[in-house]
Amino acid sequence: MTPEELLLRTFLDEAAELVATVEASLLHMEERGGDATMLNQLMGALHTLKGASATVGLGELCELVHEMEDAVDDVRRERVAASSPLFNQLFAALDTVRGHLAAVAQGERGEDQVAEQRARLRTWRTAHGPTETPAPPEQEVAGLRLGEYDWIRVDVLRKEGRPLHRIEVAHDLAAGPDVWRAALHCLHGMGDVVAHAATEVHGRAQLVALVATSSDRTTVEGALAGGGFTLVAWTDFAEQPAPKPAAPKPRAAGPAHQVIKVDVQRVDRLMEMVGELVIVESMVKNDCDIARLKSPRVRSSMRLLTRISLELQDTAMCLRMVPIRGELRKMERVVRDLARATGKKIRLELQGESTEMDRAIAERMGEPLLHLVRNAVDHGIETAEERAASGKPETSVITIRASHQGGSIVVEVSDDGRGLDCEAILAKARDQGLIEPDSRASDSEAQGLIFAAGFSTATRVTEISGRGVGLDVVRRAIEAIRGRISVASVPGQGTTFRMTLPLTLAIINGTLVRCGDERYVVPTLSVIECLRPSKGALVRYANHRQVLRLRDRIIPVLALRELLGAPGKDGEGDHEHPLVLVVESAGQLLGLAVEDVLFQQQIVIKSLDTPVADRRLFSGAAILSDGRVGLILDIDNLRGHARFRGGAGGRRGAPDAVVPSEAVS
Amino acid sequence: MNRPALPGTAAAPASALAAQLAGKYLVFKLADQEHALQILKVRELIGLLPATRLPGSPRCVRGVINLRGRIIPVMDLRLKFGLPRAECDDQSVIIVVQYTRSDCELVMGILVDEAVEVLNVTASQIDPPPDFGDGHIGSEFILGIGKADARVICLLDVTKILTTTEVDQTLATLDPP
Repeated sequence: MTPEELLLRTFLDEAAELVATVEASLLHMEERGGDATMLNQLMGALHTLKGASATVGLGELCELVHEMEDAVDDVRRERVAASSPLFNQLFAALDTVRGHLAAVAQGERGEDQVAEQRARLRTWRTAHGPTETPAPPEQEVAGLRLGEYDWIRVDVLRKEGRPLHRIEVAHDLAAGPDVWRAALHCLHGMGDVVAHAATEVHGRAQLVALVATSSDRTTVEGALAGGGFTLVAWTDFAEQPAPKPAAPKPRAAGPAHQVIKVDVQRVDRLMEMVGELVIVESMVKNDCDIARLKSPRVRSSMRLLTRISLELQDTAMCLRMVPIRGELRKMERVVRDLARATGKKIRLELQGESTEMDRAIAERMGEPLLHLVRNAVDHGIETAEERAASGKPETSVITIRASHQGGSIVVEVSDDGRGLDCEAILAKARDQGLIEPDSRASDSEAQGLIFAAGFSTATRVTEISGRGVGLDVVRRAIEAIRGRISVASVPGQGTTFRMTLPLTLAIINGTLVRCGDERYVVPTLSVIECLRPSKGALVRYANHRQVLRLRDRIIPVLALRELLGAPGKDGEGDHEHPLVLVVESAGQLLGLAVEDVLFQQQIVIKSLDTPVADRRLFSGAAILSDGRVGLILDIDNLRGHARFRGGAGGRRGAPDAVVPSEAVS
Repeated sequence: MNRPALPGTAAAPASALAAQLAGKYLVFKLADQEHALQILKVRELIGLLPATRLPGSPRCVRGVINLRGRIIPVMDLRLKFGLPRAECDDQSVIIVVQYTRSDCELVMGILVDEAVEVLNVTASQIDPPPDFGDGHIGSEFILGIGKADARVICLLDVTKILTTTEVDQTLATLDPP
């Protein structure tokens, strides 16, 4: 990566955090009014964002943020009231900023939209703001203009005991803003740049900067020389009187929670290697030659090796954990916007923000959460009149609760709205042909129907929730990260969606089964029970369909060996007395007839991202303890086989259906 | 050096094509016929590893192997070309190739009888692919014919070894872990 790209990447990371801070502050202010600390936090974030944008050459962005900063400043100085339209303007501007950052990350540089947004904000401010906006007091410090907030930073840095220096840097070549970028990047690496300006001294372009750094002159000089810059002057920044406005007291810093930023790719690479280490360790441990050694020394070393490998794996896994806070906080803005759009009063409560989960899972929680919240606002929460009529408080509450429970992560989204109407659901399901017309269902079964594809009781298609694709999409998204979702509701009181997610996507508990001479993996999460049915319980029909009478239910059974075409000794008696593994998927039970259930093992999932794998059969692959590949059966899709083909034989009509007998050569 | 154009081929595009195809190739044997793959697409050569059968995959796919923690499919090139399956011996080798399709990087192993050598093939040694007519297995995989000394080497197109329909069909269902 070139220094330019690195600078931009660093900027984008920082900018994302700053934008999040700005949004949180704006939301807080809008809700609870702006106290001095909040305002200063907001202004500080905008100010830093403004400066950083300028450093990477995003001029228009810098101007837009400047405009936002001025707007907030108007509020701070009580020249303008903090009104709802103002917040709308600021949020709109923030959205443009966010959008532009995303575009820049993709490599686009067009700033037209940003310029437009700035013009819009400026126009609005001129129309609604005070007639004159006096420039903030600035003070010249030998070539540097320091604004108010620069002074606040100076103050903070001094209190932290960081020495400040005013430095002048020259460059051999004719310098433009691009050249100084490299110098600033270098300086950023050595400390904090409070302010900087490009000037001309004796006809030569120079950069003047106020830097807080603990490095000494020689070190900085050397670093700059590396980029072709010459350090011309270095003076200690003497005590200068700061202008009057009250600077906020920096919060007393407690013992610092040390955090370092690490490239995600590096962490992933580390995790991959640790995963491989665990596999190899397992291969060594299970190697029959080593097992034959019967040496206590070897055995004890192997035990130690195993223990350390597993601990290393746990530690590496933790590196990928992030608190769910980020995803939950995003919902604040969503609820705010939705409440305004629907005219309903809604409060969002977040609990368990610090619950940690694998970063990959956290990232993919965003969409489902969004759908669930939208659904709650649109369908669950009643209008003000309805709430008043049923004696409910005017402001409805949506609660998102995250917690660790029994080795999984549980995230619940609840609302205190009207709850699910089971009768309406059943009626709609019958209408759409999802269930038999005369079938009856318990309340919980009825509520579960809302996850069915294409289902919707919405009488009108709204812009917010769309055409009833919401919950089916949510269910699939959650199941894609190996989670489960269920719903519970009390009519008139509210609805709660409960999502259970694994701690990590990388490892699952697998049950190894034998089909003929081959071994396959069934995710233990899906296994309900394992039994050898008695003579009458397993019934064969024509077309190789089999069903099992399991207590009071009849469940379809797939003969795995025939389905997969596994070679092996025939006539093992497996047809008469197979072992049946009962698995569950999306609330339905299915039996898998296998020869043997071998053992359970924690296995590292590897993706089977190759064009030739039949993704309807296998959800992935794993490396077993002997180093060979084990294919993980996709239980959800296997169910489809049972429904349409009833197990072995027969083509499905799809062009590349599984044809077991041919696959055996 | 001028050569009479092969029947059914145009002379002018042939030299441009040949220039494009010139380079280093990994030559291997399949049923006593020599073939070659562009060396840039070859990741490594490995000895035979036990493959786990992949039900539902095309016949020519032997299965998947564990290549240092990464799971890749192995294709039996003999079966792909309609040749009879052969017993593997200690000459058998798996060529691990990689190529990019629709922004996805795909890695695959190809089982061949024997790896011969790395050969630098110049433009003048390359003839355009002969026209076998439709329906001949393998005709779409051939980039060109390399002639070195008395040897005739089929220059193969790795990206076509897995046919377009198979790849695109499955790319549509790929989702990252």
